[in-house]
Order: sequence, then C-alpha cells, then structure tokens
Amino acid sequence: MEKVNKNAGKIAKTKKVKNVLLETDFNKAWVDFFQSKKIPAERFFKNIAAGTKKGLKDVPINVSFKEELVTVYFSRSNNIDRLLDLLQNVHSSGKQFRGFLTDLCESVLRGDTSVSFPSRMDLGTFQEFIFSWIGSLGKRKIKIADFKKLLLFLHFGSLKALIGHTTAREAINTALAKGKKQSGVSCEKRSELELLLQCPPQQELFSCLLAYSESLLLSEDKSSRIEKKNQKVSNVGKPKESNLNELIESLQRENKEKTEELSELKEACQFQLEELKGQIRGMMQDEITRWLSMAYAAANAEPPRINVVRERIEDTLKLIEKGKAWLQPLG
Amino acid sequence: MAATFGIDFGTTNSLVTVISTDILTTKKRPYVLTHEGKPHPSVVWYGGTDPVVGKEAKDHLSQLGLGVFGNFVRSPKIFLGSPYSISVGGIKKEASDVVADLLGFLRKEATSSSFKGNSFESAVITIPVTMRGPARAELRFAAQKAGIRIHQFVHEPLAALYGYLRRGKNFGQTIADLERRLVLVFDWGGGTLDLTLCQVQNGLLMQIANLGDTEVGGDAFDLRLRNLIRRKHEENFPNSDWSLVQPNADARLLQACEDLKIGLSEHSKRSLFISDYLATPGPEKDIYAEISRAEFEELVSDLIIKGIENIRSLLEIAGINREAIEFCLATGGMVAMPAIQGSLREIFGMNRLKMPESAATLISEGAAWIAHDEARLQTAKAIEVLNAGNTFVEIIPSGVNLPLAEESIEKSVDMYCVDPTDGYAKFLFARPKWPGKEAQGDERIPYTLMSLNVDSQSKPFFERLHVKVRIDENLIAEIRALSLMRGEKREAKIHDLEFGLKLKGSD
Repeated sequence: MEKVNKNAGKIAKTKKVKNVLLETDFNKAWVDFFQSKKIPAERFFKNIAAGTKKGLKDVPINVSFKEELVTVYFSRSNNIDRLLDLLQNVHSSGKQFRGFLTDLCESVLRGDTSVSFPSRMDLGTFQEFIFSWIGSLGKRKIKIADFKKLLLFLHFGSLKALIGHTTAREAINTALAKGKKQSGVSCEKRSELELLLQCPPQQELFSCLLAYSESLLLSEDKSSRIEKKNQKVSNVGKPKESNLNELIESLQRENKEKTEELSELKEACQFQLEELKGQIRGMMQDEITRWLSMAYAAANAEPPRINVVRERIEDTLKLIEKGKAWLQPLG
Repeated sequence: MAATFGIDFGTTNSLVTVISTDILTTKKRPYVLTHEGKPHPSVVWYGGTDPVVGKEAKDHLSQLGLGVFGNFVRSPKIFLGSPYSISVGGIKKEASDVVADLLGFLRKEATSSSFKGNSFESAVITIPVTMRGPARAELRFAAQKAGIRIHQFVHEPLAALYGYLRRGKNFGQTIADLERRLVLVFDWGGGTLDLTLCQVQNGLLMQIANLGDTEVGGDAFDLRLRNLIRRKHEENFPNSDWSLVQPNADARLLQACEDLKIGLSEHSKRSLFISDYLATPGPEKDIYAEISRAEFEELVSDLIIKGIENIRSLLEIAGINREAIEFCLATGGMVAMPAIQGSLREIFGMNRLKMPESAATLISEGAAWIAHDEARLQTAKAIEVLNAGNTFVEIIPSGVNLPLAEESIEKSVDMYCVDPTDGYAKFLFARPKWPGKEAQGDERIPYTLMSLNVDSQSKPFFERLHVKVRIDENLIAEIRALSLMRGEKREAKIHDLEFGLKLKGSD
C-alpha cells in the first residue's frame, strides 16, 4: 500500500514537470528563436504558451536574461526580421507575452547605437522622435533596413500605447514618400490599402508593410484607445490656451449681456420711478393744491362755506388714501 | 431700441403708449406715457413765440367746447380734412400745422421723459369712426410734419376692444370663444360718443356698423353745469356784472365744474366755491353753489337719452336686437356717471356690461398692441359692382390686407355696356350688409352710383368698360371707370370703407 502511494507521488511529480515549463526552458526557447530554430513566430507563441499555461504566466523578466537576449539579438543582423515576426503576431497570442516582448523591444531599441532613442516616454516625445528620425534619413528613397526599423518603432509605440493608427500611417506614408513627388493627398486620410498601393515595387518592403498592416488590423481596438488618449493629451496641451480664450470671450459676452440687462433694468426702474414721481407731482400740483386752495378760500369766505371745506378735505383725504394704497406694494 | 407706439389722438385728450418688456417679469406690457399720471389735453395755445400744448395750454383755457377760442385750439383734429384754413388769434393756420404741433409735443414728451433711447418714428394712430378720407390724409401729412410715420390707422372703438381683449390672460382663447359673437363698443368721451358693433369672424375682428355723435360729449355736460351755476349765482345776485370776470376765473370755474361732475358720480350732493370770480368788492365776487346728483341728472337727461338712443339706432342699422350682443364694452370718462351706467345696465344687464379699470388708457394701449402685434387692417366686406344681370361682381374681395404707409392696392374688372341707347353706362358700387354674407341674394348697402358716357349708337355688348379700384394708405377707395370707345372717364371716392382687424395668432 505504501509502495503504491510512493508510485502515485512519482507520477504526480512527473506530470507536474511535464505540464509546467521551467524558467530555464522559457529562456532557452527565446534564445533559440533568435539563434537557431527558424520556426514561425505564430507557432513559437503557441508552443511557448502551451508550456506556460500556469507556471510562467507571472514570471518576471530576469534582467540578466534580458541583457543576454539583447546580446543574442544583436549577434545576427537579420534578427530584426525575427523580432518583427514576433511583434506582428503578438496580438494573436493573447496578452500573455506582450509585456515581455515590449520590454525586449525597448531593450533592443535602446541597445541600437545607431538610434538615439528618447529616455523619456510619452506620446509627444515618441511621435516627435519618429518623425525626426524619418527626417534624419534624408530625401532619398527609404532603405529596406530603415523601413524595418521604422516598423519596429511603430510596433513598440503601439504596444506602449504611444502612437495611434493615424499617426503610424502618417509616419509610414512620410517614409514611403521619400524620393517621390507630393501626391497632394493628406496622409492622414490614407487607408492601409492605399499605403500598400503606393509602396515601392520591392517585394520585401511590400511584404513587411503587408505584415504590419495585418497586425494593425488585429490591434485596431487598442489603436482606437490610443487615438482617444492621444486626442485627450493633445487637448490637455495645445487647446488649453484656446479654451482659456473661449472662456474669456464667454465671460466678456456674459458681462456685456448682464450690463445691458442692468441698463434695461435701470431704464425700466427709472421709467417707473419717473412715472411714480410724475403721478405724485400731478396729484399734488393738480387735485390737492386745487382742492385745498378752494377749501382755504371757502373757509375764509364771508360767511365761511363749511360744507365746501369739508368736501374738499374729504376729497383730499380720499385721494391720499388712494395714493397710499397705490404706493403700498412698492414699500 | 426699436419700440412700437400707439397714439390715442383723442378729441379732448391724447395719449401715447409703448409696448416694451417689463424687465422684472420679462413679459411685454404697455407703458402709458402720461403727463403726471394724466393724459395730455388736446389743446394748443399760440400765446407766445412757441406753441404751448397739453395741460399748460388747457390751464389757461377758459372756454368749453371744441374748436378755436382766441389763441387756443381745442381738439384740432376736428378741422382736419376741411379745405379751409383756420384763424387762430387772427392768424391763418393750416389744420395740419396745429395737429403737427400737438403730435410733435406728444412725440417729444414720449421720448424725452421716460423711454429714452426709443426712436419714436412710427406709430399706429387711432381715429374716430366718423373721420373721413380727406381728414385721414391730412392727419398723415400732419404726422409727417411732426416726424411720425403713421404705420396704420385704426378706429378708436376697435382699438379699445383690442386693448381690452389684450389685457385678458388668454388672448387667443378669448378670441376663439368670441367667434361669430357680436360685441358693442360704447366709447363716451369728453368730445364724442362713438359706437361700433363688432363681430369676430375667422379670427378677424370686424366692424359691422359704426355710429358717432359729437353733440353729447362730456364737454356738453360740463357746459350745462357751468351755465346752471352761473344762473344760480345770477338768481342770488341779480345785479352781478359779468363783464367783471377775473382773468383765468372762467378756467377755474370750468375745472371746478368738471370736478363737480366727477364728484356727483360718487356723492349725491356736492358744492362748489370759486373765490374772486368777479372783480367786485361785494359778496357776489365769489361763486358758491350746491348741486345734487338728481338736479344734475335732470339737467342733462336729454343728453343721456340721446346718447343711449344711439345704441338703439345702431342696432336698428345692423338689424339685430340687443340680446344678440355678447357684451358691451363701455369706455370713456362719461360711463362713470351713475345715470349712464344705469341705462346701460338696463339694456345689457349686469353681466354683459364690461367696464374695465383704467378705461381712459384702453384706446392707446390697444393701438400700441396693434402696432406691436402687427395686426393688419383688412377689408371687412367686398367692394362690388352691380352688372346688367342684376348680380354683384366682386372687385376687391373681403379679407384683403389694407395698405400700410406708402402702399396701395389696386384691382380692376372689364365689362361691356349692355344697353347704350340712352348714352350712359350706369354703375352701382356696393358692399354686403353683413360680412361673410356675400351670396347674390344677400342684402347689399350701396357705396356710390356712377354714370359714364358711352356711344348711344353702338351695339349692345360693343362698348367695353374698364373699372379700376385703388385703395391708398389713407384707406380711401378711388374708383375710376373708363369707356374705351368714347374715351370717357369718371371718378368717385369711397371714404367709409369698413375694416376688420386680423387678430394675432388667429391664422
């Protein structure tokens, strides 16, 4: 019984080893990819994914291994194709290796002595770097090696959410337009297909671009997020000033409207005040003066006309009462 | 700021009203531009270099009645349309100049005191129903001299009714409720009594019949009262020398009579005292009188009967009985008199007699609302001509917008002379008696008859006749008939077109 149990433990142990890819195997697989085995990136991701279902999912990239892999990468000049192959297929592999590949890509780019890759990574800096790098290539038709490097930049930018599709297309268009006359069509408006059509008749360049375009389609969702982010960032910066101007204009407009309203209110109040003063003046100058004068004269008459005095005073008091009631709401 | 003005160019008093936004309620409301809470008396005094207008002029006026009194012109509008000049203090003046002085004063008062910044260049102006075409034309000319462009004329009672309806909470609903109902506007003011029978028909406020009486205005009541007081004084002091009347004493007496008349509306008995009326040392120098309401009513009973009788006359003209009247809108200062109110209640009952508060401002408010609402005058009835088949041919239909300032409308018909043997083609121009009843069998009221020379030798249906009717901005319809073979022309004018007012929101 005990033996049986021991055997069962062995079996279990063996199964665990088989199912879980060890870190050393993972590292070796990557080195092999760049050094010897010419398997397509798609299959590579599948194989490696099968072994890392649980075990290496969260395995952090070992710094020394990363350095080792970069050295391996630069040991062969055509490894850029392998890396591009990986990058172009990384979207179909799920999210599992994106982080690793992004780190690797950044290390490679930083390790490339021919490129002064920016130390700070933000949208503006990265996009500025791309276009200034394209600009530094001169006016001649772009070389295939440079074009591949550009695609590498763009893939990296896309993975790090530093560049959107539109800007990427613009960069490709700018690069491909080198050595050509201006078409007059805004590069921003060009679709991937249009970019392919305007691609120079070089099979390798064309296939690179095609592969890149396919990968773009796969990362469409991500790109739209980047575009939004890009938009947001650009809104934070440049339009700040215009927003402020708009705000000032709106406040000035509001101020003008309020001033006009106030002036109208003043005018209306002035009218009502004038009207009120006029009515009081009219009442005092006209009826009250006339009636009291008559009452005074009647009181001094010989004989005094008392009923006239009484009536006019009554009339005056009634008018004053009326005036008081009329003034009441204003008080 | 653009504003719309309405002018009540009254016989005894004039008022300007402007519709503007009440800044506190943000609603439009009429602002009545009074002189110290009172209307401007329609009096012009040519005492010095510049004419004195309004209350200041009235305070120096010692005569009652309408017309010219020395250097004073009271109610200058009564002279409009006359081919003759008027003599004021020995100087000949055109009626339009005197009216221009009055309107210019109203304009100045309206723009200088309260509504600063409002340009008062155009207005709707009210006119009595009896004002004929030439008078309207001269009034327009006078207004032009005063810098006012008359946008549209409107009859005083129509403006009063519009102002009254506009004061209500739901104007549109009130109009809808009044559809096909008859309303009598009874405007008894200081100078005239105007009556208008109106009907709301398809959103058009139409005048069915009008009547005006210039003999029973409030001034006539004041005059009777003054004469009574003088008579009483004469009885008390038979030796009084009336040539010794103190300067301005008559003006004081007139004012006291007006106060007495108003006082008798509220009290059964009132007294009056004018000190130093005569320049004599004795007790006769002061005028003292006690008048009871009954005495006063007895004194003016014939005027009241005559005024009220106008209602019966108007209903007779229209061919309706008083029960058909939805309500009677009573306006003007005289309707405050208990005897007049009593008579009106007797006819219409308590519920059908409407006596709005601040009735004195109703006409000018109505005019301002009409200007503000851009309510257009329309022909209430078609202008027709009778043809040989004894049928009426419409020249200008009813419901046509009447011309505004500097506009005119023109329509024409062509006919043939059926029987030229007597050398004349005869035309009868008429309108239906009732608006909307324009069928051939319906009753007509003639406007005018016209005969035109034709060739008596020509065959029937050979002489072609061309008839053209043109209505101008003064609402005068000018008829021109032409016989095309003989080349003869005849002209006639219709001054008493009946109008309807297209009500706001009735489309």
